[in-house]
Amino acid sequence: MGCGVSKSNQFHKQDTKAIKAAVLIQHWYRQYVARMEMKRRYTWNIFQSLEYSGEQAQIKLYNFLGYLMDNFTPSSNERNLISHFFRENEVCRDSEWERFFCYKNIEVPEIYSGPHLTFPLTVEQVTFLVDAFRNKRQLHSRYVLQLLLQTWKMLRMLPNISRISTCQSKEITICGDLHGQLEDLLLIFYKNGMPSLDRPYVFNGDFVDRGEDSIEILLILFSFLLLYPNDVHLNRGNHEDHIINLRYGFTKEVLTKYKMHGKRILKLLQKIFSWLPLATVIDQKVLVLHGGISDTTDLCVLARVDRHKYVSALRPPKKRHLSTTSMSVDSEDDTWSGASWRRASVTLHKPLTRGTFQNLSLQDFSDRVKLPAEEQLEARRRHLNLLHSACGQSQQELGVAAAAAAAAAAAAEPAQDSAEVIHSIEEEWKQILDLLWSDPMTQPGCVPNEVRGGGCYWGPDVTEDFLSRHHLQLIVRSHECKQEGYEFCHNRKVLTLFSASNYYDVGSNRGAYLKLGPDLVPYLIQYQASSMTRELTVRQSAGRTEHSALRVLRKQLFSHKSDLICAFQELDKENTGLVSLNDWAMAVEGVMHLGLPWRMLHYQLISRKNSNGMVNYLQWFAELAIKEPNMDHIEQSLLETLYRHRSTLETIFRIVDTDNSGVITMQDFRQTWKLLSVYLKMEFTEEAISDLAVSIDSNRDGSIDIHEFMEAFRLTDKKSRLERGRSMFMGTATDLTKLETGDPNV
Amino acid sequence: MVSEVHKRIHNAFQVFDHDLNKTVDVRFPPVPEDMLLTAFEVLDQQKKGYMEPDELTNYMRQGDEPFTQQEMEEMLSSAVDSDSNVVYYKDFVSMMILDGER
Repeated sequence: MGCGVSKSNQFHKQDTKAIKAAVLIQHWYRQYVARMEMKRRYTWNIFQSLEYSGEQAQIKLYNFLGYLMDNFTPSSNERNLISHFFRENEVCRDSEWERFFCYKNIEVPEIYSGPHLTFPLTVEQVTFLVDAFRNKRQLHSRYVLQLLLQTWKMLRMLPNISRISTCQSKEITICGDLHGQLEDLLLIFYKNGMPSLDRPYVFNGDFVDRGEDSIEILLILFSFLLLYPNDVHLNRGNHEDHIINLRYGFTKEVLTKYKMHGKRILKLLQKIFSWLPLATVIDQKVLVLHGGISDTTDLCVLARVDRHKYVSALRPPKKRHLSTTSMSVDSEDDTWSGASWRRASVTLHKPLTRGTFQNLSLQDFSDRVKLPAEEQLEARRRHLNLLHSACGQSQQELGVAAAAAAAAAAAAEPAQDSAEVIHSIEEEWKQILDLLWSDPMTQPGCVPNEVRGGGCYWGPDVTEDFLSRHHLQLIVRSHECKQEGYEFCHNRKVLTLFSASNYYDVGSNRGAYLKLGPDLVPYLIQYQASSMTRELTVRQSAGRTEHSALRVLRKQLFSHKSDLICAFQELDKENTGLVSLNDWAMAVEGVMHLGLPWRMLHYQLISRKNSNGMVNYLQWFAELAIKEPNMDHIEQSLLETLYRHRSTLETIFRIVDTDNSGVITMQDFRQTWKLLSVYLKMEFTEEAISDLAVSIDSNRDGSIDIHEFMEAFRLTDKKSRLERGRSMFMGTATDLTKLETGDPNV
Repeated sequence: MVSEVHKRIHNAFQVFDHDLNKTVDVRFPPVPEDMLLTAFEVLDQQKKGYMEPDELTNYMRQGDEPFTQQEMEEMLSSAVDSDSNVVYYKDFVSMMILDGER
């Protein structure tokens, strides 16, 4: 090239060529960025869907157990197994509880090298405690119980809604979900300073579960609460709930760290959680609460409730004592024993089939709460009618009947009162549920939160209305993980604040905390905890997160193998072994219900398609296969079930393990399987279950160690994070430059 | 508000409008690695095997849709080798292609 071409022409050609090259590179790079963004989004989706469907599964399980409770005859074994689980903390003298939780006879051995606490706490002690936890020390159970007892006493004095002010020049620091991630709390303290008289803090719930240092976080927060009761405020989160803790790791953590006194500690924590305040209001203008609001949220109602009656937000408190006091006629009537009342309740109200209850959310159960008064009335009328017909129809009897009818009418009045009282209990319960579980949405209105199974989704119009009714200007809430650690919505009237960085995986998200001065302008600071030994570029961490999300997803897919194969075969009527990509995506969504972009994901999940672009699904499963332990003698389908429902299985185990010892009897083990088979609507042969039991009870002592069981069947998920437990806290100046500050004007 | 959304949708599609004719090939052929490498080699007029950040920036600011400041910074953050402060484009391309395929 170049013959007879002038120099300027040549240059021109070069330029054009260069520009074309540059444009190509631009195109390519932008394509790359767009693809990365897509990946990041669906990775996020994967983790979030799995997390929320886990919460939903937990609630479903809970509902199922409640259904069992209400509908099995009292003598049934299954019911006994779980009845203790639902027994509310009886109205008990505080002094009795204090005796139960007494720490005084717990001896601290000489070799204990952790902190020793004396009460009342001092700043030095608390600082020392924080340091000890930073250095992986554990606080002795004696001191734990002591600290918790003091905390319990303190919390009981606090109102449901704390009202605080920035007065003069105090800035208030607000933190969101911590989820047992001690590193993040320490990072916040490092950047912002620890709580003090001049540095008030609000912690907005979800201190526990999922992370590894939940109990340490609690102990730190409680210590500061005791030190500075007017300057440290704790709001309850949906994870401050012993039922949720069974599934999400807090129960396990406590029992592992405190083998001897863990049960007592957990019991005391149940009470403490129920006494945690529900919300905080700053300068009468900013509302801080964990989940959110609904179109019926009323701060006046919330301020009045007896919050401690709601030991778990998942179940309203029993009302029997209420109904007996208002219906005095009741006590004389001994035909109305619990059993017949129960039978009446089953026949009178629309039967819930076992199929339907699984799809119900907590909202749907609120109806059943209303029943007691109404059906007692109904039953009473029937009883009188029976009497009536038994006595025969004569003039006199009509008189008796009339008198009876009058008595019934008289009985109706207190019934109405109690119906009202019960209605307000139901209303209270909904208020609390909404407060702890709701999420904002972009569309207007208010709909039940089907995804989580509790609370609702509320829209910007509901926010507007709520704020104006209560003369507020901002809602600060947590409950949802956000990539930047925070996110505004609803025209900047709602701020979501999340303080657990790297929540889904290393590099998945930043954490953030909020500072509010007297001007009440939100100032946000972001951070991301990371081990000293590991620094990943943004690109690398995004890649890792995606990698682990996909790994988790593949496991999920594999654990639904049978259902998926069925679904594929439905679409592959001619039994070719192939389905189109469209059909594949449709079948997978139909089985998994995760709402993920399957077509986009298929590149990552299916290694190859045949020449026509069809998917060989059996081959696909062979690729997905997870290495299983050598359990050839165990039925394949049983193993798959075990794997898929491992979380539920473990939860049921822990429920059945009434004394929280980590071990259950063979008998209970079988009962557990019966429960599970009812719940899953599957049949397990006695033989299959015996095989399982035998293979795990290696020492033949007739009891089964839950942990060993889960381990043996490789049912425990290795945490998708790195071994973070022993990560170092950053303390050098150079590391500070890596901590980013956020732009408050986003 | 709506026009903003429209604009964003438009821009998103434009990324894939390779022939700049307001059409998008939904089969998404990615830019082949050798073509990309050739493109870099064209820009590396002195055939050094690397490019200075300024050099690259200069080129990326050309054409109908030059890179924004932010895009430039992002690209440089992953392209520039921290020790020598230049862009070894061959490695850069291999790395990104690998990412894209994973």
